[in-house]
Amino acid sequence: MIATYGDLVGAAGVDIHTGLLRVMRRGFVDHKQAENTVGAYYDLLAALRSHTWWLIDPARARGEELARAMHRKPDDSDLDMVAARLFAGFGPLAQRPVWLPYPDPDFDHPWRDAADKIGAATDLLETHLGPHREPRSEQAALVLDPGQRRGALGFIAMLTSVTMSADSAIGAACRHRDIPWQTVMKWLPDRDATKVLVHRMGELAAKHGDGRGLRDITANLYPVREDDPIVELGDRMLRLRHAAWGLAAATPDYSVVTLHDLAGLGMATHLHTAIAHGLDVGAVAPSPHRLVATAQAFQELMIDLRDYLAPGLPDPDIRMDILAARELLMQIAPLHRPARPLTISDPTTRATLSALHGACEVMGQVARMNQATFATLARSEQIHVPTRLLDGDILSNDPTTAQAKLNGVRRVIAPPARVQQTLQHYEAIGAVTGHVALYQPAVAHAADYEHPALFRQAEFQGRP
Amino acid sequence: MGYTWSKGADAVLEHTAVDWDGVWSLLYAAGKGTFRLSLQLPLDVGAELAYAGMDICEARDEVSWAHPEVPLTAIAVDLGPIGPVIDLPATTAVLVGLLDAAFDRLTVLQDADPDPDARSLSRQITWRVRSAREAIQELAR
Repeated sequence: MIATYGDLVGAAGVDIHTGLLRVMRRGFVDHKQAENTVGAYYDLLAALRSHTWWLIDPARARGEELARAMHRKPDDSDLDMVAARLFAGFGPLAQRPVWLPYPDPDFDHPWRDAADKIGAATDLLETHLGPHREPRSEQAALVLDPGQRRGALGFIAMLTSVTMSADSAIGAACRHRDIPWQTVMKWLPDRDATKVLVHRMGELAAKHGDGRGLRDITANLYPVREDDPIVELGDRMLRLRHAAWGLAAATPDYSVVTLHDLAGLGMATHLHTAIAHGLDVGAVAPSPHRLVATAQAFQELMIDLRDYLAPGLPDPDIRMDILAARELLMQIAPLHRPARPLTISDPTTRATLSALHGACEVMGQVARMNQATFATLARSEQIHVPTRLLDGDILSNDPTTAQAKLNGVRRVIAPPARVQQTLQHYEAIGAVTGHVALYQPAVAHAADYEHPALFRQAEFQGRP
Repeated sequence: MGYTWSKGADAVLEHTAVDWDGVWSLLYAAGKGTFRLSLQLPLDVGAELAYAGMDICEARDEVSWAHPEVPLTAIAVDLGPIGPVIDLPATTAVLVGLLDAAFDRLTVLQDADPDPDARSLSRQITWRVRSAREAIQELAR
């Protein structure tokens, strides 16, 4: 099981509740334990604060705060401002005033685990970004999207609210151990205003979606677990998607063969899934089934890509993953002999089909990334076509290439009309797999984020 | 149509010498033909043929990476489109014939070459071509 962001913050929530219940049921055995627990409580608040500050943009919040300082009226409609004011209300948390205790290093409490898990959740999101917040993976666009980040604050507000409500339980437990009232008041001052802000923060965050956007984000690491074929297939597909994202960077590796290999895998995935469903793949095209139609689209693309000549060698890692994935598909859903009857409704069937459909989704996303890669390659004028493969419409619309062919030149830079044919194949795949977009930013945010290698039609006109 | 294919294939077989150029030409014709056939057949057979075509093209790529001048000098023959009615055994027989001829040339080259690197290259290519040939032959049955 690879932990996702949602797993980590969810587990932190469980720990916070467990810690609260422990304080309520067992209380404290002595003064030392009370001190330690209060220390753990503040550690947890510090972790929640640094996580919140990572999700909002503190620099922006501070700037707006300064701009509004003259109005004197605090703004309750801006989530960033509310979150910043909320945690500012706690005063210093990392380097505390002398009367606030720290927990002993060997003190064991669920709140300390929760603080660790929230810190790990921050680190998990951080793996997708570089030091200057540049994207490092295909999920980075999601992590950078302000709407998704604010949506994720909803759950954090809930955790903060539960944590803050623990102060009455701690206070009650302190009374049982005869800790002086003045000390307790210093440890846990009255925070009613802050509690109102937490509530407001939860309300505002709920407006930004349900916070599910960041829930499924995994760490930017792609290990392959080889014990179970279904699990291994999923891992390999994710690794391929990350590799395909890497290929779509501004400087691709000038290899069309890799794109060809990936298209071949796209065909295999959809074909095997169709067979696992018992669809009739023997029918003459066009097939009414979407899976078969997609497999055919990938097949046409794969054969079309074969004609290009490019300087790059195939990427050995990607090819290895592709070969392994094809083997696994053969194992899970063989083409000719019935494997395990997939009509039985049991958890294995469910897992198999969901793995196969997940693989199909990933291939749809990979095809979209590959389209960007191919467009970048075509613009780089590094991919050639043998002139003997050009004829008809392409030559009649392109006098330069026609002249080259007549002069006996053996290869030319791929003419725009030829490139357009390939892009049409990619678009055909995009049309049949349109429902599986990895991430489509909201219209308002689309202007903020532009992929460096995104294919721009207007810029592409007239250039091979 | 099988008829025009066999005619074209005969021409390729006749005009290719026993050298790397010859191997490349034969693999080119076979690979192109396999892809063309795979696009015209339903997906269950077509996908297998496409895999075989991928194998053949990979073998061809190996030749052209080891001998970069070969793709520029060798004859490249495309067997052309097949008619609407496909005689599967006849067309696959043409493809298998081309691959067999490539085998013959590879065997001769492997025996003639004293260089161990070149020998391992031709062994690798032979292995790929053989798997493609078996897949195609399997389909005709």
